[in-house]
Amino acid sequence: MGDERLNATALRRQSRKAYWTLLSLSFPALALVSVILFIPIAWLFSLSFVGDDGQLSLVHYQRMIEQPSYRTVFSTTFLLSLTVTACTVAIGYPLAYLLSKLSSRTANLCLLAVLLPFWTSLLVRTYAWLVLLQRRGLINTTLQSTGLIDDPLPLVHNFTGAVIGMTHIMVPFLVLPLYASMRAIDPSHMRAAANLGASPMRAFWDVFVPLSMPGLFTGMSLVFVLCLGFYVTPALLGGGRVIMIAMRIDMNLRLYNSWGAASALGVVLLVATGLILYLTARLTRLSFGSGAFR
Amino acid sequence: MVASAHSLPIRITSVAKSYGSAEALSDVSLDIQAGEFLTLLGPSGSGKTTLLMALAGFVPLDSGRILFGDRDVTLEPPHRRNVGMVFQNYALFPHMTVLGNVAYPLKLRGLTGAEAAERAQEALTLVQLGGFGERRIHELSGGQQQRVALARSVVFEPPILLMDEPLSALDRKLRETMQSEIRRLHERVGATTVYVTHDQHEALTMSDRVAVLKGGRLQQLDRPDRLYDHPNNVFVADFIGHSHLLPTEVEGGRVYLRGHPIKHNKTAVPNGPLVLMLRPERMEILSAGQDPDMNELSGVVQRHAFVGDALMLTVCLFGETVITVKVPRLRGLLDSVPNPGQPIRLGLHRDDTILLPAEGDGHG
Amino acid sequence: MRSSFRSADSPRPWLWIVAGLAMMFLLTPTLLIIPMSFSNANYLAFPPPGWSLRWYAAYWDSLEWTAATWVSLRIAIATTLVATPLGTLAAYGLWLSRGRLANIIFAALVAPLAIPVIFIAIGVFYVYARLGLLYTTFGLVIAHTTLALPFVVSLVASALKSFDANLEKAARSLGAPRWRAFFDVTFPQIRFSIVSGALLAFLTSFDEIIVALFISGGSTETLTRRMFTTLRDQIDPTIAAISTILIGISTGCILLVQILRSKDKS
Repeated sequence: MGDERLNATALRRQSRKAYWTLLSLSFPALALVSVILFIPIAWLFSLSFVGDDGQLSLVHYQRMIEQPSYRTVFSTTFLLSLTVTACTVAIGYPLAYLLSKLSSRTANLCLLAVLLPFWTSLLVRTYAWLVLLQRRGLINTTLQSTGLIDDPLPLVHNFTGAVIGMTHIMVPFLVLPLYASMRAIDPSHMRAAANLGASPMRAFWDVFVPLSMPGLFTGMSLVFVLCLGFYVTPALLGGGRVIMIAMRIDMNLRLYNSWGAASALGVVLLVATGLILYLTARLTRLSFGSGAFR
Repeated sequence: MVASAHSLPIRITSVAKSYGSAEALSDVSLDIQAGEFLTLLGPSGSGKTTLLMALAGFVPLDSGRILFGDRDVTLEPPHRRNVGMVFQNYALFPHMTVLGNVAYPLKLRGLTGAEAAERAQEALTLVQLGGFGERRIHELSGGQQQRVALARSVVFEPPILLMDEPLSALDRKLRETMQSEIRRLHERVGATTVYVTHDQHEALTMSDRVAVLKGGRLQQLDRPDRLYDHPNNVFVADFIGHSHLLPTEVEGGRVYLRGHPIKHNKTAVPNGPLVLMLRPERMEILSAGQDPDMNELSGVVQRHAFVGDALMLTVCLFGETVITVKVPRLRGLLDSVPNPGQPIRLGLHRDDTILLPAEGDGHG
Repeated sequence: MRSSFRSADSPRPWLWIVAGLAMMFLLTPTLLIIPMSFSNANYLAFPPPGWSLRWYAAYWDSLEWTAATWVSLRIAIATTLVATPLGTLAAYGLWLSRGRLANIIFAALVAPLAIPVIFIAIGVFYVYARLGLLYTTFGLVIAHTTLALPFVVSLVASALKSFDANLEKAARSLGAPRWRAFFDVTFPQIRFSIVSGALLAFLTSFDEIIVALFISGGSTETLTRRMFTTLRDQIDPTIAAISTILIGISTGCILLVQILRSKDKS
C-alpha cells in the first residue's frame, strides 16, 4: 500500500506539471492582454473615482447626471444608436433572409457583398459617404438632375449623415449572426406550417420570424453596443453637431485635461456595453467564450 | 499464444483513476503474459478504454504502477513507451500518403527515407495492401484504412500492441474478416496485445484470455472457455453468452430450487443467497427415467422459434419463470421436442450446474 | 398545392429586389470611390470629368503620405508576426488544457472585441504616457497585437475544435514528443486557419484608427491617423486614391481568407 501511495504523489505532481505547462502556452498572449487591456482598465476605473482635488469622490459621475451638456451627449448617442439599429434591421433582415434561402454556394458568393465592405477600412467607407452626401455630391446632383428636388439636401455634417454612414458600417454586424441563425432554422418547420394550411406569409410571420429572434436579438445588441461607443464615423459625418460619448471622452481628455471625467464616462460606456451584451447572452442562452473548450 | 523476442509482459498494479466523483478505474490489478492476446471486455463505462489509455500513457493515473517487463513506465510520457496503438477511428494522417503514414514511426526513430520506405512497404504487404503505398487516406475504404492503421502500429516492431475497439466502425462481415486478420497478424508479429471491445463474441473468439470489467473493477480474468462455463458472478454470467438466473433457497448447507434439492459440484456452499445459472444450450430434454447426475426442471412449452441452426423453445418453468432452451436441429433430437402447450422435462447435469452469489460484483 | 409549396421554399421576387437594394447599398459607396479616384479635376464626381492619375501621383509624391503608409505597413507586418504565433500557441495550449480556467483565459483573450475601442485607447494612452511608450513603434505594435489576438485565437480555436485529437495521440504513441506531433500532424491540418488569422491580424492593424489616434504621431503617425485628421478639415481627393489602394488590399486579403477557409474544409 505504501508503494501505491508514493506513486500517487508522483503521479499527481506529474499531471499538475503537464497541465500548467500546457496552459502556460497561453500566458504570453494573456500577459499582453493584461498589460494593454486589464491593467489600464482597472487604472481608469480607479481614476474615475478621483476628484479634481485628488481626493476620492464621485464628482465625475455626479456631473454626468447634473450637467446638461452630458444629457445632450447621452440622448444623442442613445437616439443615434436606436435609429441606426432600426435602419440596420430594415436593411439587414431581408438581406439575411434572402441569403438563408439560397444554396450554400450562391449564398457564400453573395456573402462577399457583406464581407468585403465589412473588412474595408472604416475610414474609406466613411470617406466614401462624405463624398457622396456632400452638397455637390453624387446623391444631390442625381436628385437635382432628375428634378426631384431643387436645392441640395443637407445630407452630411449632421444627424442624417451620421445615421446613413453608421448604418452602412453596421449592417454586416447584423447580417452575419442573423444569417448564421437563419441558416440553422430547420426548413421542415416552414414545410410543416404549409402542410397545416398556412400561406407562405403566415408561415413566415408565425414560424420563421420567431425562430430567427435569437439571431436577430444578438445582431441588434451587437449593433447597438457598437453604436454606443462609435467615434470615427459620427465625428466625420456628423460635422461637430453630433456629439457622441466617445467624442466627449476625447474632449474631456484633450480640452479639459480631466482624466477623471474621461475615465468616468468611459466606465459608464463600458458598463452599459457589458450589461447589454450580458443580458443578450442570457436571453438567447449563448456564451461568449465559455464552452469553447469543454 | 506466441512469445517472441519482441514481446514484453505487462504488470498492472492497483491502478486507480477518478474523474471528479466518478471512479473510472478502481484498484485494478492485472498480469499480462508476454506475447499474450488479452481482451479487456465490458460495457461502456466499465473502464476498459481508460485502462488501455493508461497503458498508452494518455490517461494520467491517480495511483498505481504499470510495468512493461522490468521497466516502470508509470511516469513515462506516451512517446517513450514504445507501444503500437490502433484507434477506433484509425487516426490516419490525412496529409500523408499511406506509405508516409506507415513510415512515420520509423522516421521518428531515425531511419533514413529509403530504409523507412522499405520497411513500411513490408508492413503494408503483411496486411495485404502492398500496392497501396501512394494512395491518399480518403481514397481508402474503412477496412483498408484499418489495415493501414495496423501496419503503422507494427512496422516498428513494438513489444506491446494496444487496440481500442478497432473494428466497431465496420459492418459485420468485414468485422469477422478483420478479426481473423488481426489474430493472424498477432501470431506473425508476436507482440503482447491488449484489445478492447464491448462485443463478447469478438472477445471470446480472438483472445487467449479475457478480462471482464465493470464499473472500473475487474470482474474476472480467465480463458474464454472458463469464462463461459464458470463465470464468477452474476454480471459475468449475464454479459457472456445468454443465461437465465433463477433464485434458489439455501438451507442447512444445501441448495433448493422450488423445494427440490439441487445437485452440484461445489465442495462448500458459500453464505448468502445464490442464483442458479441456466444456459439455453446446456439443458437437455429428458426422456423417461431418472439420471442421478441430472437436475430436473419441469415446465410447459409456450412456443417454438426457428433460428436457422437451432430451435429456440420458450418454456414456462414452475408456472411462472419463462426461459429459453436452445435445441440443435439434429435429426434425433427434434423428435423428442414437445409441441407448444405440452409439458417438458428439462435436465441440467451437475457438472453444468453453476451457482453464483445473488448480487454484487466480486473481484477476479 | 405544388406552386405554394415551391414558393414557400424559393425566394420571391420582392425579396430579391429588397435584398438586391441592400447589397447595392453595401457595395456601391466603396465601388464608386474607385472610378472617382481617377478624376482629373480638383473635385470628386461620378462619372469623373476626365481620367488621370494625378491623385495617385499626389499620394506617391507626398513625403508625409508615403511615410505614414510605410509606418502603417511596418506596424501591421510586425503585429502579424507577433500576434499569429502568440495567438496560435494560446489557442493550442487552451485546447489541450480544457477546463474552466482555459475557458476564462479564452474569454480574456477575446475580450478586446467586447470592450469599446475608445476606452481601450484612453487606457493605453494613460499607461503609455507613464511608460514612455507614446508615439513609439513598439507601443503601437503591442497595442495592435492585443486588438488582433481575438481574431487569431478564435480562428485557430475553431479549427482545432474540428480537428481530430486522436491524430496527435497517434503521432505521440508512435514516438513523437508533443512539439513534434504538433508540427508533423496538427499544424498541417490547421495551417489555413492560421494564415487566415494572420491576414485578419494584418487588416486589423493596418486599418486601426482609434488607438492610433491617441498613441501614434510625428514620425510614427499611421496612415489612418493622417487620413482622419485630414478628413476633419477637408475632402482631399488624394484620399480617394489612397482609399482605392486600401480597398484593393482588404479585398485581396478577404478573398484569400475565403479561399483558404474553403480549402481547410475539404
